[in-house]
Amino acid sequence: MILFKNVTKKYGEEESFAIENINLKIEDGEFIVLVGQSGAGKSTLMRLITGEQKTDKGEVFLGKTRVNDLRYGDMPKHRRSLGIIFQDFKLLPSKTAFENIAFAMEILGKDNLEISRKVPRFLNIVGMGAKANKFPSQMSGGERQRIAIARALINEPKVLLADEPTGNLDVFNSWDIVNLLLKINEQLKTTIIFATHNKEVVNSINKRVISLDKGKIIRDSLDGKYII
Amino acid sequence: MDLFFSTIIRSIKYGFQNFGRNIFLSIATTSIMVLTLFGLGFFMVINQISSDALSGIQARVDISVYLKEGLEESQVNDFISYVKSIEGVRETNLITKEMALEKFKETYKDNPSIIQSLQVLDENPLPVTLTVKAESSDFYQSINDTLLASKYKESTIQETDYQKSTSKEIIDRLNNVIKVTRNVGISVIVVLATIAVLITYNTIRLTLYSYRQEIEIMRLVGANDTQIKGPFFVEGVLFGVFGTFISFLILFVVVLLISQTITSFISGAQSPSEYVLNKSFLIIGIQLTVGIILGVGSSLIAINRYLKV
Repeated sequence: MILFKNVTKKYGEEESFAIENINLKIEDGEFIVLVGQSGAGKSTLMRLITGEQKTDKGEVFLGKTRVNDLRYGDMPKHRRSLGIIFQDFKLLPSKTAFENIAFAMEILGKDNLEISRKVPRFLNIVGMGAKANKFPSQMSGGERQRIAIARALINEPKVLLADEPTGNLDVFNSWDIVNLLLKINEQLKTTIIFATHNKEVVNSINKRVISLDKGKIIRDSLDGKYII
Repeated sequence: MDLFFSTIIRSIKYGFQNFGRNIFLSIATTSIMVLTLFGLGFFMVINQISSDALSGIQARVDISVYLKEGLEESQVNDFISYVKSIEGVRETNLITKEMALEKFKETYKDNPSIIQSLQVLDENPLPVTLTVKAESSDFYQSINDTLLASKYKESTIQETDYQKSTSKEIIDRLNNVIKVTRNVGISVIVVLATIAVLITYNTIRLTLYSYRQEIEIMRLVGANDTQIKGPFFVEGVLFGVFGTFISFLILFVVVLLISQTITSFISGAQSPSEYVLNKSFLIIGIQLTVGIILGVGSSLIAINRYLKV
């Protein structure tokens, strides 16, 4: 469960709030869509979960962990319980699809046997089993995002934060990625927080939608409608 | 696999990879490290040669204190006790009139006219002499001054020959040469070390830049501080290690080439190549320590400045 209790966040000397007095509860296994214009606070909300940003007021919980209390040395462990994907994929161009996913396991000290067993399984989950040896430059945007998703999931995080993952993709590939996220949520029971601008996608998937404006939640609805 | 060991293995693997990724930069950094460590090793050799030369001369130097005629044995003993109490005195040696005469005869045995002129005299003209050796050449002047300022100057001392001797001049000159060499050597090493730190720092900074994507991804998937910083730390160590072995090799070749010239110029000095061979572990140890400190130090400065994990 993710819990925001009266959370307020301001950047530096800016007058406006990035996040203002937010109260939010996200249950395990939920699929949440975060909508709002640029600067509405979507990314800040995610950074407060990852611990990259600290609250000015209020508390953020991930399960029993009070994220505000995490010290510098606790951050790596905290981040291992999260998977994160971005608009720009953040794949290593010099590594193949397989190596990009394996990289996330290698640095956590997983042995080669485990890597060679697990990576193909996750390549198949994201539908990229046949492209294990391709480099990012040999893949389409949608395919790169699938690899990024597999990398985010390989260490089996409880929560997947998707920050505008379809922002760089065409309509066809966007749908592809959204369907993949829905499948992952359903099959792996991973909690997914999906930030997007894409109104059509939001209106079609019929999930809980949280609308943000100027750092405030203006709507939290299960009707699956993109309304700001 | 245990995370600790896998982190170490990974750090070593990627440390070597970092080294090879910017190979020309790595060669430049290793070269300046080689120059610095060669300077350090060469300084050690020069220091040893000059110390040997100084010790050789010092061993032959003393102050001869000529005592007045007709002193009682107790007065002489009292004086010897006083001399031994002066700071810096290592040993004293009393030469009686008879011993002095024997020595004189031995010295001039090939010059009968001098020996005959001595026989014309009714009594032994040579004075009782106390030779004084100091702990180091720095003490001779102060020992001589103390003697001449003491109450024994009037009652016991006829004269001292330290001022007349050229030994003082030689020792002073050699001491000055050693001090200047030492200061110049240390200054050169400090300058080279500073350049080495700056270049290594810059190399690590560029490596960090070229690895920025990997670092970001590592951070995202929960790599800890050691995992992220380890390879750059290892890269710093590698500059020190490679620098040490290459510089020792060059040092040995250079010393081998100049060894004969040095030993023929400075009598009593140990052959430099022999010194390098005998003390190879010590020299490599010191070079390695300094090299690693410089490499790792500059690496850590760059990491802490540019790598906010």
